[in-house]
Amino acid sequence: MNAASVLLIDDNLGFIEAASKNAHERGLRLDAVEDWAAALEEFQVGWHELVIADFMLGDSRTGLRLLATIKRMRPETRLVLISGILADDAPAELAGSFVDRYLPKGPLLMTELRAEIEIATDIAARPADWQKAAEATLADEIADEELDRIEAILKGSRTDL
Amino acid sequence: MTKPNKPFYLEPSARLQRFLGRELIADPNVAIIEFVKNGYDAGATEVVIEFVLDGLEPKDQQIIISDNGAGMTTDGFRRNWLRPGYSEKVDKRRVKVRSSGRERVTVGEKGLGRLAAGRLGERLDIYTRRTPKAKWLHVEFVWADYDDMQKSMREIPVPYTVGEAPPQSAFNIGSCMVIEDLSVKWAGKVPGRKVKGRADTRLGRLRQDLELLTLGLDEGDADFSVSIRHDLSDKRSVCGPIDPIAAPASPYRYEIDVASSDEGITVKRTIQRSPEVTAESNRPPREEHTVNLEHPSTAGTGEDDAEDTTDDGNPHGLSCGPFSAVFYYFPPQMKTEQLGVENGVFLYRDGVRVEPYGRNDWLGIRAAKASRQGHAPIAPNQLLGQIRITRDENEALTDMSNRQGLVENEAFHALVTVAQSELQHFGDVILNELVKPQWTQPSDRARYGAERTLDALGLIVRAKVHDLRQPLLTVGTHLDRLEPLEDSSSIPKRDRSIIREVRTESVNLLEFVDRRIAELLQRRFDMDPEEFDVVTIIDRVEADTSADLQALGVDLIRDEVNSVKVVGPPEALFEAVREFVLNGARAAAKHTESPQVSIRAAVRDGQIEVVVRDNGAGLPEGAPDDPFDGGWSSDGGGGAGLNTARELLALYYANPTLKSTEDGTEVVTSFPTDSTRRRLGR
Repeated sequence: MNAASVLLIDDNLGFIEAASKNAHERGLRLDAVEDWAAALEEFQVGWHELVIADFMLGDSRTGLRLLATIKRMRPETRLVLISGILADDAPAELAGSFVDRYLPKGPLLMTELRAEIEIATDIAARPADWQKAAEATLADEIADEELDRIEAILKGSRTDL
Repeated sequence: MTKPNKPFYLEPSARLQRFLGRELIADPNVAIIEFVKNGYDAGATEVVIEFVLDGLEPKDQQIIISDNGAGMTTDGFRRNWLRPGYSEKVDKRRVKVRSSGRERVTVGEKGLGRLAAGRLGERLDIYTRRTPKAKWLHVEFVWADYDDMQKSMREIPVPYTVGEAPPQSAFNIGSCMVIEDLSVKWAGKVPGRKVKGRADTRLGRLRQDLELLTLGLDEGDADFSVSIRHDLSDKRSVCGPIDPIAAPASPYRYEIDVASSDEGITVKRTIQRSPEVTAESNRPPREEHTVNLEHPSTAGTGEDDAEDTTDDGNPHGLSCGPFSAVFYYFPPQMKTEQLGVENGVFLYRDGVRVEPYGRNDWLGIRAAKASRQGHAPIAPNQLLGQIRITRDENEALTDMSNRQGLVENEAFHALVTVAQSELQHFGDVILNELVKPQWTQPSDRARYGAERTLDALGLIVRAKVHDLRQPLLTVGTHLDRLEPLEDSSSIPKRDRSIIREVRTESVNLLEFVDRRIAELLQRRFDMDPEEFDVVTIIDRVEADTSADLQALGVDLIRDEVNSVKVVGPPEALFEAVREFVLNGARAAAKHTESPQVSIRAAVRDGQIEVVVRDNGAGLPEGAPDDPFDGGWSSDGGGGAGLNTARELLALYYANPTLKSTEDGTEVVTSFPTDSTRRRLGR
């Protein structure tokens, strides 16, 4: 079985370059982009099984909202939120209804992400609901009261950086 | 010559209703408030919001919003309500209040608020009539009918009848909106974390938002009231008429009237002091003066004023138009939550609140305090304010359609800049009259010095560690690239072994550094003072140090921990006590097989004492006279932690002492009983 394809969204260029090299050397398919618009474009082309997004994207929108938007396009996609600045373990508890896992950005992140790739690998074999995907693609950004609330809490709980 | 083509016309899809109604407004409270505002604009004196929830499935639950305003005729409904984006209030900015005949300025203008019903429920029934003798007009909307993207909006029939009365309405005239198949669970608590200052339940939060809806303080609209009713068993504090917030008792009230003049921007400033502050500051109970922000040399009546307005500068003209504001300051021991007062600076247009300004610190009070440290005495939780604008005079301040605030244009920027400038002036008044007189004592100077240092240090530390964490992640990701090589048959076994060792050791060290960074990022550096129980800090220290103490094999014993209140930044006491506990634990672990640390917090001879003892070796020969001076610690390590702890305790005017006991070391921190009085300047 082919390994899951991975989409990584992070505006830390050093990290996405290192992650891309790491994945390439291991024979994994990883597309890395820096912002929201590029992520949606890339996802619509690559239809990735695993999507990993940083909480704060460069254009002040959040990776949490991006992942929620992608989930609406392809509900079976495995979604991982990462962050280096969220203040405590609240993200895992709060974001649980929108993402499959929260991981802090630590030195062992790649090890954790490889485990996520393993989990996502069997998603590739599942049939896609193209109609749902097409409908979801019409709306660029998801509107959801619970998401607004969680996003506001997480933005408030991060350090003032 | 080319014959002109027949022009195109926009024909909105029915689905536009979804975006303008169900998906435009995030907060359901805002959707309800839209209907309350509609009643206000209809000249109503009362609006009743009734929730029918108990024991019902969401599809059977109802929200019934009734007002005794002007109501609508069939023609009026067709002309106004059925045309989203059309609002008669754009041209007709005043209505007569039904009972008094007094004129009221309307607040709506976009013609979209009515669609907010779609945010609340799947079905809307409207009943309306203008007089008790008229027949009720009943109109039905089922929002799912508008989901068909292929149909245009005008293809969706809107059924109506004439003569059918509402099943229940609080009034026999006006309008009654019955919303069914609700999209939000209104019964019970709001899921997730508690929000400081906010009720736990949805209905409680709605009540809080409605309390802020109209101006209140001392200038509310006596002709308008809102009530909540519901059928749930627990009716405490939610049901009943909602009074706008009353003017609170505060040591300082600061009022401004800002206007354009030939000289630039003119601000009429009025400061009112409580009798206590008047007596202690030797200032009059009320001072009024007018300053010009462009020509500071003409400003003010006092020395301080001239100095302050020089700093004010010219805040970008007054493109927002004239406005007024009132601010109340509360010293640290007057907790706004306990006074039943929400803190924040709220924005009102013609007496009705403009969302979301208020709780969101839109004037950057916290940032101002951080940047000016001890010289900005006002923290966000010490201020209640209202800024007042009008539709007539502040036309450039327009709402966004999603009710998420004002359009951020030059006028909004001017409003914010002038308001910030005036808050800085208000803060300077408090600094000069209330805070600086306390600085004459050396301990006070130390305290403010420590506060400034800590505020700045907190920001710098967090910025630096965040900068460090990003490259650590990249280094970790690169190191991970070495892992496949550890099993590569093309690399000699010895080299593979070296690669494994280097990678493993490096990752371990990276993990260690990252843990410390995570600790620093999670640590809160909030140095706002408040009154709190020392027990809460000891609970936190016990939880925070448990892993370290377990690793050292040290037992933590609560010798005697009584409930005692102190005033100061809780975070500073936490850090200091934590340092004493860890220092004692390390000293005890080195000395005995049964290491122990004990904590005591109690009142002794009228003084609050926090005592941390260990059963280590005690102070050795040659220990410095002042162990807190840096460079020494009872556990034999560096003493920077003890020195920092003393700096932190200076925020409480407390001075810790460290001495040997019969079986170890004891750190005693005594809190002066008059610290509360002194920090308030009383």
